[in-house]
Amino acid sequence: MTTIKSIMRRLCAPVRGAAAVREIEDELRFHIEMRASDNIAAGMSPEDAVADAMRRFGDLEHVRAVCEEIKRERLAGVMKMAKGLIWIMLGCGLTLKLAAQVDAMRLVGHFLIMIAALWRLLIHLREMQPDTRRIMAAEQPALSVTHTIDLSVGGLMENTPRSVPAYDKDGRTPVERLISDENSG
Amino acid sequence: MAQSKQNLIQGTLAMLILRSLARGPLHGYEIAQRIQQSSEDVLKVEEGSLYPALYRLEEQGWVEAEWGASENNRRAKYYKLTRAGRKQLAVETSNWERLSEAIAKVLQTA
Repeated sequence: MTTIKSIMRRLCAPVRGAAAVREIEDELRFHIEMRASDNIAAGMSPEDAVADAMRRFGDLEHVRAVCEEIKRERLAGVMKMAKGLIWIMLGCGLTLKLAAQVDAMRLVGHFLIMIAALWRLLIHLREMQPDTRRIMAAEQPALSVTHTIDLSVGGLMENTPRSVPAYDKDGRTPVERLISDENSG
Repeated sequence: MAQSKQNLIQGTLAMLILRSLARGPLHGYEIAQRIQQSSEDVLKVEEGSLYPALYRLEEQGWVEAEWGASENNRRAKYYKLTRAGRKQLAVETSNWERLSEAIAKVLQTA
């Protein structure tokens, strides 16, 4: 059952390209926010907590790019597998349609050809679409400005919850902002 | 000066991740913490490097990922070992034990 679920997940993966990129961002952001929250619990100031979380994480841009590349390779593999399956279905369908002696079998052949054609059309339409992942990456910083690191998690801060933007309007990380502020100050 | 905290030896990260997941599903941050705590702070993963490794393990079919709610009720991606992952963990653990035994022997005799 798990294997069937796993195969279905892989076959459905190509239509989830942009969603997969969003998932990577969500996952990495979650990690940094958790580390920052734990740092605050350990007594760090919010600024230090975020800076330490970013430092421990390493090169966020690089990690994100590598994760996206792995996903892209996976999607390419799935697409290849899907195209192979289409040819097999088409071959079986044609054989049944042309050579079967029983009407029911010819009907199955007809059905297989229809499914294969429809599937191929869907893949073709998808391939014609621009690569939304590339566009997203080009237009947006790694983590969108609208997302914030909530430093109030676990009630560790003063009563009023505070949020620190993961990226400001110039696309700078909290660490870059701190360095920039120190230099200008 | 002796370094108290050491980088993970190349190639062992996958084995440590698989071992961390042997007791049940964890999200990436928990995996990093589990490795660090289990090694009593000797092994420190550069946390970002965990994710490409996890994605590769998922690609190989050794772990499966599913989104769920974290302990503080936030959306988190949980990883769990697959049957193939358990087998791989057994193989890698056995390889590692043989290797460390061999190195120990060399160190004792050399």
